[in-house]
Amino acid sequence: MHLPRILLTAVLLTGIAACGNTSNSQDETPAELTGSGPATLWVRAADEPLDKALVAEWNAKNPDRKITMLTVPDAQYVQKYVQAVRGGDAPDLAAVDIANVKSLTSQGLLTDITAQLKALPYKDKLAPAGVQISTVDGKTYALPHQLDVSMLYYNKGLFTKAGLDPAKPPATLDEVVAAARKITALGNGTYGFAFAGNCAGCNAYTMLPYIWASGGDIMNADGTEATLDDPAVAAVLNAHKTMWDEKLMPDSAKDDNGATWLSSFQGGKVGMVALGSFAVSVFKADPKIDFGVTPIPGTSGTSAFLGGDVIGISKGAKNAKTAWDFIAWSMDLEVQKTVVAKTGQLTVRSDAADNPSTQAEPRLLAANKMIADARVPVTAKYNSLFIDPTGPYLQFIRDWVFTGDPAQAIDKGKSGFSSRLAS
Amino acid sequence: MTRRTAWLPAIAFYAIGGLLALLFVAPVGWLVLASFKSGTEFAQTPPTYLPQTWSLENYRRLVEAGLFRNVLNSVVAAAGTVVAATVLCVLAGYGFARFRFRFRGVLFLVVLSTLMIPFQSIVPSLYVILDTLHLTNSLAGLILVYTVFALPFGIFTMRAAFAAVPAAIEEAAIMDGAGTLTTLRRVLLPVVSPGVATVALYAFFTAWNEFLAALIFTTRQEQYTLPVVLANLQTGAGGLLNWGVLETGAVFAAVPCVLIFLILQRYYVAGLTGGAVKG
Amino acid sequence: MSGPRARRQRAGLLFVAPAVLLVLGMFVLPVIVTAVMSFYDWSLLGQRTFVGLANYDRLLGDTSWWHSLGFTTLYTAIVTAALLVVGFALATAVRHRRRGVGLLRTAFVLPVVIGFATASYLTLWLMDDRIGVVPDLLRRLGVVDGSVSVFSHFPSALTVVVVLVVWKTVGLTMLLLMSGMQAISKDFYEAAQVDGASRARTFFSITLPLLRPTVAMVLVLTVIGSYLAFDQFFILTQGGPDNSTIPVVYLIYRAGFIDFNLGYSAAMSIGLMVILLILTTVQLVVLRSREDQ
Repeated sequence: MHLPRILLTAVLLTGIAACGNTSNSQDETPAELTGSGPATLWVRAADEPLDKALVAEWNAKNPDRKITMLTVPDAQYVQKYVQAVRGGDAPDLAAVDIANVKSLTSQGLLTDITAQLKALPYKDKLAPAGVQISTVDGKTYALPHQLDVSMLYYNKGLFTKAGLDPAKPPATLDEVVAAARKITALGNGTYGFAFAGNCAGCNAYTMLPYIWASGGDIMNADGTEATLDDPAVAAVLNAHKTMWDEKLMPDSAKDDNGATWLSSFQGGKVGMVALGSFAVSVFKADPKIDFGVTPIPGTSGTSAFLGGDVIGISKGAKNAKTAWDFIAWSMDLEVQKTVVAKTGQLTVRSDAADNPSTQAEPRLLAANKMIADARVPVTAKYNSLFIDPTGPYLQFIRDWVFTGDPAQAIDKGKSGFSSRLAS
Repeated sequence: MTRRTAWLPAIAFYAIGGLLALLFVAPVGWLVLASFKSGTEFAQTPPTYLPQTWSLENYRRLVEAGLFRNVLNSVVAAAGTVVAATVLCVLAGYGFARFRFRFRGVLFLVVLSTLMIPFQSIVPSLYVILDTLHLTNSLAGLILVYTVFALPFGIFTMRAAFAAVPAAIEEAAIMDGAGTLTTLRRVLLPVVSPGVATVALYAFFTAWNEFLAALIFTTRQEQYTLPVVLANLQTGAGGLLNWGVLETGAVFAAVPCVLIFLILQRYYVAGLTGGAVKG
Repeated sequence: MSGPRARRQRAGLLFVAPAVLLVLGMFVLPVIVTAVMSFYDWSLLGQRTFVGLANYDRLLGDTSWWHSLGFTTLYTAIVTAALLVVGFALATAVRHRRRGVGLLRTAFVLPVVIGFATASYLTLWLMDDRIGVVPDLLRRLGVVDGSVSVFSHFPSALTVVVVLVVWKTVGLTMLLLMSGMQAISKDFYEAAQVDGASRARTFFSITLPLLRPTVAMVLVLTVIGSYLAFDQFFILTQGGPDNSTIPVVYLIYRAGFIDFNLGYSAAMSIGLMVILLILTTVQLVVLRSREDQ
C-alpha cells in the first residue's frame, strides 16, 4: 500500500515546513495538527454524494478513526456552521461551498494549513481559483475538495439541422446570438437559447462567466462594491435581452426558478444553455439527446465559474490530524482517479483529469480542463447578494433582460447591492 | 326556528354544503392517495389523477433518505412540548384561579401580554439568548420555545377551567386533610380534564406544525423537524427535486394532525370557542 | 390572616412560578434584549458595536422595508376581508342543529390543524406547472393554453396564497363567529320575526351588532396572524416574482439569518412590534367604545 507512505511523507514534510516557519516572526506559527480520533465532517446537501463515497472508502480503510458525515442544507450552511462553532459543536472538517469560504475565513473560523499545502508535491496542480479564494494574506485555510464548472451545453442535432457546424460551437457572445437565431428559425417550437431567468443561484453560476469572459466583472476586486455599469455587464445582459426580445428563448425562461433548468434542454427543443458540469451525467443517461460542451464565451475569450466545495479544518478541531489526513488522502492521485472520478465528479488535480472515467466521457475531460481558468466571485456576502432569491443580483438581471430597462436596473441594482453589502 | 332553517331547501343545502366540505377535505385526501404512486408516476407530466400502479416506493425512499429521523424529531419536540406545557399550565392555572397571593393580577397580566407580542418579532434576541445558553443546537431549545408559545393560551384555559369548579369540592378535600398537591391531583384534575385535553392538543399542534423557529434554531439536518427538512429537500435539489419524497413527507406532517383532530375534536373546538369567547 | 391560610395562599405563587419565570425569561427578557440589540451593529457571527439610532435611520430610508410593509398590509386586508366573508357564510350555514351539520363543521375545521408549512408543500404540488393537478385541469378545460406558472405573476401568486390561507384558517373564523351567534338570545330573533323583519334586516340590525365583540376578536386575531405571515411565502413564492411578495417577517429573517445583521433585524422587529401594538390597541378601543354604547 502506498497510502501510509504518502501520509508519512506528508507528516514529515509538515514538520519540516513548520520548523522552517518558526524563523518567520509571524504572530502564530502553524501548530502541528494533533488529535487522531474519529472525526466529523459537514457537507452541504447538494454535494453529499461524493463525500458519501469518499467517507465510505476512508472508513473501510481506517476503522479506528472513522469519519462521521453530517449534511447541512446549502442555504443555511454558513449560519449553521458559525452557530456550531460558537456552541462548541463545530465539526473537525468543513466542506463548504467555494463561493462561501470567505464568510468563514473572514471570521477566522478555519485552521491555517499553509504549511501542509506547501508540503504537497502537487500543490501547483490544485484548482488555482479554489486555493486562491481560500487564501487570506498569504495563508491558506482550505483546499479544493469537489469541483464543478459552468459551461455552455449545445444540442448537436439542432446545430446540424440549422446548418451550423456541431464541431465548431460558438466562441464569442455574438456567435451565441447568431446561432440562437438560426436554431430558432427551425421553428416547430425550437428555441436557440435558454436560461433560468428566475433563479438567483443558477445565474450566479452561469451568467457571471459570460461577464468575466467579456473582460469585466460585476464587483470590484475586493468585493466591496458592485460595478453594474461595467461595459462587460452591459454586453452580456444586452445579448440576453436581444435573445429575449427576439423570442430566441422560450417564454418559460422568465419564470424558471431552476426547476426546469435541466429539463428544458433535455427536451431537445433548446439549442444552447449554460449549466454546471454536473448535468453531463444527467444528460448522457438520456439517449435521445446528442450534446456537446464548450467554455462559456464572452466578447473577448471564455470563462467558467468554479463551483463545488473547498474543505478546511475547523479552528480548534479536536481531531485535526485525522482531518488533515483525510484531506490529503482524498487528493491522492489514485483516490482522485478512482473514487472521485467514478462518481462522475471532476478531479481537484489537473494531473488526475485524464482517467478511465473521463476517457469514457470526453465532455467531462473538457470540463475538467476548464478548471484551470475558472473563477470564483470574491465576496463575503455571496449568499446575500447572489443566492438569495430576493437578493439584488437576480432583480438586476430581470429588470435588464425582461423589463428591458437597463437604466432602472442599474439604479435599483446599485442601491440593492450597497444595502446588502452594508449589512 | 322552523322558518329559519327552511329558507334554504334541504337538497340545495346538502348539495352546496357537501361540495364545499369535499373541497376542504379533498386536497389532503388526494395527497395521501398520490403518495402511493411510484416515484416516476408522481413526477410525470401530465399528472395522473389517481395512482395507476400502487406502490410504496415514495415511503421507501423517504426512509432511505433518512427522513424518518426528522419525523422522530417532530415527535420528540411535540411530545416534550405537550408534557411541559400541560404540566406548567395546570399548575399555573390552578395557582391563578384558586389562590390569592401578592402580584397575582400583575403576573397574570404579564402572561397574557405575551399574546400581544408575537414571537416572530423577538426572533433575533431569542436566537442570541438560546445561543448563549447553548440551546440552539438541540431539540430541548425548541421544546422550551414551543412551551412558551403554548403558555398564554394554556394558562388562560386552565384558569377558567379551575375557576369553574365549585369551591365546595376543593374545601371538602382540604377538610379531609388532603394537601394542596394531593387535592389538585386526586380531586381537581379529573374535573378539569377536558381543559387539560384542550391545552395538550393546542401544544401538540403548535409544536408539530411550527416552522420559523425550527428553521432558525436547529443547526443540523439530523435535528430538523419535519417541516424544515422538507424545505431543504425543496430548495437543495436544483432541478432534480424528488417530488414523491417531498409530498410523502407532507403526508407525514399532515396525517397525524388530522387523525388526532378527528378523534379529539370535541376538546379542540370547545377550547377554542369557550376560551376565546370568554376572553 | 392566620398562618396556615397565608401559607396556603403563598403556595399559589409557587404554582404559578415556573410558568411565569419561563415567560419572563423567554418573552419579557427577549423583548428588552431586542430593543437593546436594535441600537447595535450586531452581527450573527459575533461582533457588535453600539451605533445609536443608525439602524432606525437606515430603516426609515429602506425602500424594501416600506415596500414589504405595504405588501403585508395589502395581504392582511385581503385575507381579513376574505376570512370574514367566507367565515360568516359558513357560520350562518352550520350554526343550527341539522342532520349532518356536525360533519360539515368537522370538514371545514379540519385544515385548521394542518401547519402552514405542510399546507404550502401541498399547494406547491397542486399548482406545479408540470406535475400539478390544477394547471392540468385548467389546460384540459381550455381555460389556459401552455404553461401555468402561478407564482410568476403577482396577482396569481397572491391569489393562490390567499386561497390557501382561507382554506386553512376559515374553519377557526367560522367556529368563533358561530359560537358568538349561538350566544345571542333567541328572544331577539323571535321579536324580529313578530315584527316581520326580513332576513337581511335581521342580520344587519340584530346579528351583526350583537356580534361586535366576536367580530372584533376575530379581527384582532386575523390581522395579527396575517401580519406575521412567513411560511407560505418562504415556501411558495420565495418572495417573488420580482420581490413583490416579501412579508415583514421574511425581511426580519433575511436581515438576521441571511445577511447576518441581527441589529438591523432587531430594529425591524421593534418596528413590527410597534405596528402590531398600535393596530391591536386601535381595534380594542373601537371594541370597547362600541360595548359602552
